[in-house]
Amino acid sequence: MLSPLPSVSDADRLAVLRSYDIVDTGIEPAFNDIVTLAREVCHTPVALISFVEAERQWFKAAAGLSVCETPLDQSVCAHAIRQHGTLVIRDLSKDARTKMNPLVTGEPHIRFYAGALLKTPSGVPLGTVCVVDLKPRPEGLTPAQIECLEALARRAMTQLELRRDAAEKRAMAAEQKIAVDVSVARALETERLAVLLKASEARLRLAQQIGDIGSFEIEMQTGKMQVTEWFCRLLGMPYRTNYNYSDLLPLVFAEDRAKMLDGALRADRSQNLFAEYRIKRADTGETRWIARHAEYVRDEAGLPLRLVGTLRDITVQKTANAQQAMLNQELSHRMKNTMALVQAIARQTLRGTADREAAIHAFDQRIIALSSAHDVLLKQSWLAADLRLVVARILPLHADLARFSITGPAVTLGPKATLSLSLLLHELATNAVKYGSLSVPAGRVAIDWEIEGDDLVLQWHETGGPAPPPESGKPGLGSRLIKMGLAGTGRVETTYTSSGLTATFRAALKIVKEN
Amino acid sequence: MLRRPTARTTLQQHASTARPRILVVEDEPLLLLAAMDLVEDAGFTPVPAASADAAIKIIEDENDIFLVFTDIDMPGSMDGLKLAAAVRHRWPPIHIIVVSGLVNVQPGDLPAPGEFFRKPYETGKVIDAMRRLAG
Repeated sequence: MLSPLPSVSDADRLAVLRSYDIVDTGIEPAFNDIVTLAREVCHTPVALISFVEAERQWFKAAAGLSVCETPLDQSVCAHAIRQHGTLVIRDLSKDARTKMNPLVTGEPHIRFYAGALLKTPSGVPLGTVCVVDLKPRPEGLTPAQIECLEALARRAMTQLELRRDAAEKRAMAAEQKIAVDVSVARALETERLAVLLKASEARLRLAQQIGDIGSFEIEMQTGKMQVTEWFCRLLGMPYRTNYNYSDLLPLVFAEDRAKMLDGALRADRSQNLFAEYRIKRADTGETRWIARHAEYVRDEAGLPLRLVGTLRDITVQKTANAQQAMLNQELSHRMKNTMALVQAIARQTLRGTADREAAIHAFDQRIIALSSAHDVLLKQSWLAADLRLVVARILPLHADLARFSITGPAVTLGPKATLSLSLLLHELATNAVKYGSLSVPAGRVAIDWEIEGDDLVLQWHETGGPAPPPESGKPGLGSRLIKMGLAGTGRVETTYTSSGLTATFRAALKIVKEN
Repeated sequence: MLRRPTARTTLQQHASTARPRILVVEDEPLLLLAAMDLVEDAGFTPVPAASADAAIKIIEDENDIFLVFTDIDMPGSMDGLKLAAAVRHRWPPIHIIVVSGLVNVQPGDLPAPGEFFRKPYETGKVIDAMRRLAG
């Protein structure tokens, strides 16, 4: 059974026609040959290969006719494609379908038409190979002529198919070329990105190393973490890109666990995102201080999806802060003790003195001695002072150093013993200048010290001085301090000879060295 | 060496006057002197000790110390806080006054009952405390 033919204006038929890409193309010898043969075989003045479009018919090849297209109302082929088989109209002026055709009623007054269908393999009619005569042909065409005309139509159709295949192949080749180009470009881009990524990773690693920063990203739902190499290094864990948040918790000090992001994993918005906590490193067990900064990454509804953040080892700062705090406290302690000493010097100097001028002078001298002791201590960050330096600093406040002979091994004094010895030497020298050997030009003082067992023994020995005056009334601060001995031990022996005072002080080395 | 006999002489002298005795513990000689003068000004007899160890020995040897007036920061095996704790434990009736320049010491660090003064202290207030404790 033959399928019903589509109408001239059928959209599917027109689409098929367009798919051959033939209308409005240039001259092709293969099609010219076909119309030449058709005209010869059928003995007609005109032969055409005609394609019927929605509004017109267009001739790919024409023999004996100079136009290349006509409007559809002048087309006989339009009638041909409405039927199966070859259309032969012996006298166009007598046929109801064509007698009003302008080409029939007017120039060039065509009278005979025979058209064989150009049909696609699936049976869609595109147009015809046709012959036209200006005289009616009552005998029509012979069966052999019709067969030839149909054979030429098939030949034209084959040519159309070949043409289309070639075009498709060209298109496909072009497409393939594009595809190859694209894939090459993609490969190059991938390679470039890999290089960039590697460089960027290297930069990140370097930055994290320099900044001593490790970074992490926690998925809220699962607690899975992605971490960097430096993150693992900070915690002393083997380097992996993936950990579970719970892997971290055992490293954290029990008393600091409350600072961990446990709550954040339950999507709690109130989580403290900045924290400082202590860990024991996974590899060495060493205690380190870690600072964490984190930020939520939220979905469109504002619910936390991930937590991204950084870890930094702040042990050095923490230690420095603690040391600074300790230093401040130590400084304050020294200050208070110094104040207490000044207070004591003031009270003891002014106590029961009638001579105001002399008291103020004595006060000044004692404060200067105390201040000199501070200078010596400052040379070793207030931790210690060399005994010889203390002696050499205090004595010139009273007399030319040439009048002293100073002998003894190197001994390091603690800060308290330094202050106490300075004040003691000050009182001894003050008394010597007032009443002892330094009160006369020829008098001298020998200061010797040595280590005897666990003790430091220091001797003040005046020579060439006058006999001391007998003690009268209440002893002064100087005499009382001398009696207290070195570092207040009270272990002191004093002898007054005709040439001056000899005093021998003893104190445990352990005590005078104490900080 | 010299101090011991001297101290005993002083003790015997003061024993006759029968003024209540206060043990003054301070390792800085000048401050010890000043503290002893303060004790005398308050109307008591000072007994000096340059360390907590020396102080314990004196309390063990003497039986009429009614108050220990001590600094905290001292050399030796014991500081003033440990001395105060030892005194509170072994001799509950003895009163305690502690002074210190240490900033991190709080009155609560002391065994109760006890008085605490920061260095430098106001002499008058310490004297008042001593007199109050003496009853």
